[in-house]
Amino acid sequence: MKCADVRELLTDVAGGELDGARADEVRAHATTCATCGRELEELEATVGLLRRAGSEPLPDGFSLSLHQALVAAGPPQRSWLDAVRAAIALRPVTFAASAAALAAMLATGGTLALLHRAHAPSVASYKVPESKVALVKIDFVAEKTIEDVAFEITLPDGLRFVGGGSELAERTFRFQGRLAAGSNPIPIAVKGPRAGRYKVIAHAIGPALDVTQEVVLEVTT
Amino acid sequence: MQPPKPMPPPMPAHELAGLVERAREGDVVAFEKLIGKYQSKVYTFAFAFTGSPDLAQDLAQEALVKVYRSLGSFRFQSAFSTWLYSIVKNAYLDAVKSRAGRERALEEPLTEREVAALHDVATAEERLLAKESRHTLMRALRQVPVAYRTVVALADVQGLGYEEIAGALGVPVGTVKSRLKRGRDALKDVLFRQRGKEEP
Repeated sequence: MKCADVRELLTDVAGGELDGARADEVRAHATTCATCGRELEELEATVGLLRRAGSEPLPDGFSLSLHQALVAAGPPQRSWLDAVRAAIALRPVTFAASAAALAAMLATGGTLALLHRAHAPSVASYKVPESKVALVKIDFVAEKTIEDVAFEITLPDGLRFVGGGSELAERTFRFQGRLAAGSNPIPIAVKGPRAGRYKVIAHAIGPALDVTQEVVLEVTT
Repeated sequence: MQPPKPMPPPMPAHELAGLVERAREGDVVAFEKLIGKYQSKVYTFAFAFTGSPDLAQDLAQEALVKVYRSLGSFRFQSAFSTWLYSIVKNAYLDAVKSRAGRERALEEPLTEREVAALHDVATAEERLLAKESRHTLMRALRQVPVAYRTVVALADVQGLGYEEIAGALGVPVGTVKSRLKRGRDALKDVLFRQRGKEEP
């Protein structure tokens, strides 16, 4: 093996991630090449130190102090999905063929404009500053209760769901619920890191029901 | 060479689900039971980030409060420990990005004597480092760029596997491997090259 090839593998050998014949080749080279041999020795010493570090004992009073901080922080925030499920489960009933897509507010401030409102499939537009989190509400208005409704919300490339303060990897959320009579707003927290116009699509599918909602989110610089 | 320390066995699923449910309703005791075995690991991880026991205590507590407040977003799609580390990692990175964090990063470079003492420890036989050596090592780790430091701390100090680190950081396994390599190389340079430069 050449030195350049060996150096690519030294850290894996030092960490024990590479063993067998390939590791033997590296070690054999290291015994004949002073430079690679020293590199391996130093890497093994480095990894050895890290693995022998052990867990740092918790400082005195850590648990008590943490308990006080947890109590002061208040109960966990409900995720938007949990909030949606709870809201849908608690409401009474009916579905209208028309659906209005809706109101919104910014969690972090900034301008937001409801530009258009229409009937099914309805389209609403929002403007939100780049990199801010927007809470967008998608509303399904029902005339009567509809049970066993499958909801699906899909984001386009460029938008991300936000939950628990972090961007989520999922692009589509599906959940079962019911529609109550009247308004059934589904809030979603989204973020768009780049300027542009993005279309969020929500489906509600159930017995004799297939409605699509579209919300256009304009991310501005 | 010691192998990485194994992670404690996971909590049975029904017990985990019960504690998560109670904690989501605001049961602090249930949450404390949920994170019981991770407290020390989170604190050690914070230590690797800050290099200071006092700062690590503040950071670890802040991170665990964020874990508690974010419990609503845990959907059992990954191991609880993976999800917990992802929240903790974000809390640490936020702290590092802060102005105070950047300023702290410039403080207290290792002295030649401290580095020399670590070299002596590196060749000694004891299974665990003494407190002083551990603290010096954590300060050395602070000189490694944060992206690499995170992976080194999770892999070699916490004993997490590639897959779990990838899940916690939201990056591919290949990225974990390359950051681990670069992080170990960077720490090795701190421990060995820096000393060489200081020698007459």
